[in-house]
Amino acid sequence: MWWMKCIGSLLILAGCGFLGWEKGAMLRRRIWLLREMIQSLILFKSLTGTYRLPLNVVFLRISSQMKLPMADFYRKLAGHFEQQEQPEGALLWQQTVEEMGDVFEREDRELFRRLGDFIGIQDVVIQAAAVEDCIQELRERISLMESERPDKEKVYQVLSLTIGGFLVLLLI
Amino acid sequence: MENILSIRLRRSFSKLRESWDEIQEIRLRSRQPLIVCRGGKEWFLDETGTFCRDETRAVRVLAEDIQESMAYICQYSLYAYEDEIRRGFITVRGGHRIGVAGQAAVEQGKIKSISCVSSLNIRISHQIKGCGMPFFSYLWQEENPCHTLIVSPPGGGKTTLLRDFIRLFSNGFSGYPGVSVALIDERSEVGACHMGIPQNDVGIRTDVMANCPKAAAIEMMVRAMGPRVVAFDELGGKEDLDAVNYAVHSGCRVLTTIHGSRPEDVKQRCGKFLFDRYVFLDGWQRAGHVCQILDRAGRILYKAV
Repeated sequence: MWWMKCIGSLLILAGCGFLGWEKGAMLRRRIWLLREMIQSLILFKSLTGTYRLPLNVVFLRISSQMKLPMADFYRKLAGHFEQQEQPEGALLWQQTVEEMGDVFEREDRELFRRLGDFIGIQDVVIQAAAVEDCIQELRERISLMESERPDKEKVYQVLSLTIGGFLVLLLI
Repeated sequence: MENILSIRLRRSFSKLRESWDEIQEIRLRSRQPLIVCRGGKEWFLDETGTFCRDETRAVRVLAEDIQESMAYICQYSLYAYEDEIRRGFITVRGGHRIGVAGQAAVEQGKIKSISCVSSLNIRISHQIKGCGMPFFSYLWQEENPCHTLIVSPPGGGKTTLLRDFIRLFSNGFSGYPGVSVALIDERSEVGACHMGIPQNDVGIRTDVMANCPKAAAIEMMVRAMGPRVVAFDELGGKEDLDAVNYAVHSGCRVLTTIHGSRPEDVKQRCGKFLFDRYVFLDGWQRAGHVCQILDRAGRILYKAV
């Protein structure tokens, strides 16, 4: 029976360790997603500022150059803009951001959603400035998260293994 | 077509009993009744989609309708249509042209933009294919296209005829081979380009340069696209004539139009340059009615009965 207890303990520790690792992976994934957002906005600036393409075409082109889930976001956006389902482009942008749900973290989703107020306006300079502001804020967020990431990952791992240890003691 | 209108106005048009083919223009003016031009006459449109003469029954256009329609017309991308808005008209898919009026933002005496759009004039495109077919053979001489000038008073149908001639030259017709055509569409009236793609049928061998000053575009197209025929609407001043000379000396044939009604009008505007064919339209009888075709020496090749 002792060997079953060993296996059980190992499984609990592995499970908790995995949860801690996954928390760290989610952090890394969020940083990667923010970088993808920046990339997509840089493309957006270029296609609207230099080539002056209309938004449905811009979004389709961006979606073809991005990976999931940003590709999915821009593809949905292109579809909504093509269908012209709302009287304002800002509403379509905000609607699509909401449709993406938990793909974006709440605060990142809010930042992206606010950008919609400047999308498609007549003054391309102000539009570009708003996009640039958003890119700056995303970069600052990434910088902060990168600086905190190593410590946070350690905390998650230590915490998860500690909890695993407690569970082993309690249950086994 | 109704998808470019606000949702509120679409409701009236969705109940329309008549065909869209009969409608020539839709006029939207902020806080004014909705007016539709069909058969050369103006009608009000009521909420049931019926044309009427009673202004009190007409659907009222609101400022919000104009704003919303502009969003649909520009595909929510006003910045992408900034140049067109500055020129006062936007060409949409299907070749329809929308005139824009409102409060202009002026800088150093030039219109920078139209900031508060209060009127939209939606002109529905109706290409008349085949209107040039009966006269196409007159535009050839010894298996070569002729330098051709279409002369017409305003509203006489010269742009429609020009478009059809371009199509016929490009595709070939009645034993005449198709030739490459360079169309310089400065005001996007002939090809009605939307995102660079002509919405009207201008032929399979036609290259279009839209929204570009004629003189610069002619030189560019002659060098880059090697056309047999260079076509453009409304021969203007000295710059245009110089560009025409450039095209002619490069071996191209020129097909263009000019405002006027008599040979004397042509001599005044064209100076020393002589076209091989002069096609005169009599706009007062009916639009597109060719009354005579003259050759370089002024001999009558065709005269309407």
